Amino acid sequence: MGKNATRLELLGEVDVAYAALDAKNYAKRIGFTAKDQYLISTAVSELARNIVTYASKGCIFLSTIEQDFKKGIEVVADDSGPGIQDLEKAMLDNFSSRGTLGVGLPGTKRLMDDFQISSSSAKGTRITVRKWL
Amino acid sequence: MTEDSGYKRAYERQKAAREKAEQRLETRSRELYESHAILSKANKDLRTQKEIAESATSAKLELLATMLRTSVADSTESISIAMYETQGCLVVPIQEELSKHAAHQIQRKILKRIPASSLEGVVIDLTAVAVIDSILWDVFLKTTQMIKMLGYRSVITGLNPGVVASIIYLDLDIDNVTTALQLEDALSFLSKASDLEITEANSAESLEIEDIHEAGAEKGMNSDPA
Repeated sequence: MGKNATRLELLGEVDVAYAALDAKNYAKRIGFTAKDQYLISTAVSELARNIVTYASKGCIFLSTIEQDFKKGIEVVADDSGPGIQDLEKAMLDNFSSRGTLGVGLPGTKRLMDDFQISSSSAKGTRITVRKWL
Repeated sequence: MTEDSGYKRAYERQKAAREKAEQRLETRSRELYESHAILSKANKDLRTQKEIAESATSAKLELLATMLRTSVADSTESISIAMYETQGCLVVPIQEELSKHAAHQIQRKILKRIPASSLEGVVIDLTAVAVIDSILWDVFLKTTQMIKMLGYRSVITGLNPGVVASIIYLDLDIDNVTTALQLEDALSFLSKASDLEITEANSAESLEIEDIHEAGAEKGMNSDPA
């Protein structure tokens, strides 16, 4: 995780919108353009909604990262829910096991630059996404 | 005589001493009484202050509890939404970031309101909403489809470029929704809707004819080699 980490607690539906707004402000402080701020906050909204839908609670960490003179934002979505059974399937467009649109994960991948996911029934799910300035 | 006067002197001295002692005792007890009065008054004051503080605390706690209850009630029960009618259209300005439940409530309120008014159409204005993700978009899309089934047109306005980019990257359904940049555009579109209907009907007819021609041409082409 990078510098200036912020932890956003997700306990219910209402927290999703707040997390998205916090992410938007955080991205603005790093120096992202208005359009990128919207993409990042939408990605955070999708990740937060996944947590609330599938794990009922969890948290999202925002941090500032630097690599080879590049600056960016890292978003880590962490929950200790039941885990994703079939990661390949979950990354397909229009696949959903619980009434969502099934665009969440593949859509989030398109909104951001880097996307990593690890999930197990024992440890829950951790999704790390990054976007560079 | 000397013995007697000596005795009397002693008696006088003793009496004076006793009187002095009594006086001192009296002063002392008065002092004590006064200090006791002061102390009991201070004690009383403290008790009143304590009571005031306690009632203030309980009032504060009650207020907090009420605030908590109402905020919980707000988040789960009702969302205030100021719909208004202008130029024959129902305008629904969405004022803040929404949860899924809040979006569903707005959907219900719109659908409840529609049959009670005679309308050209419905405008959902999302100018004040900063983040629209897949679920929220889906709720609004379905709302426009429901409005359509009730017999009215609807337009979504106020999508800024960032929100539009997000919707496209998420690959959300945009085919079955009419959007406009600003409220005025939406209103003029809806008030011209009746004119448009005629032209659309005409163009649909001509399209059908073209389709038949094309189908015929394709058939002809297919049958040629055989």
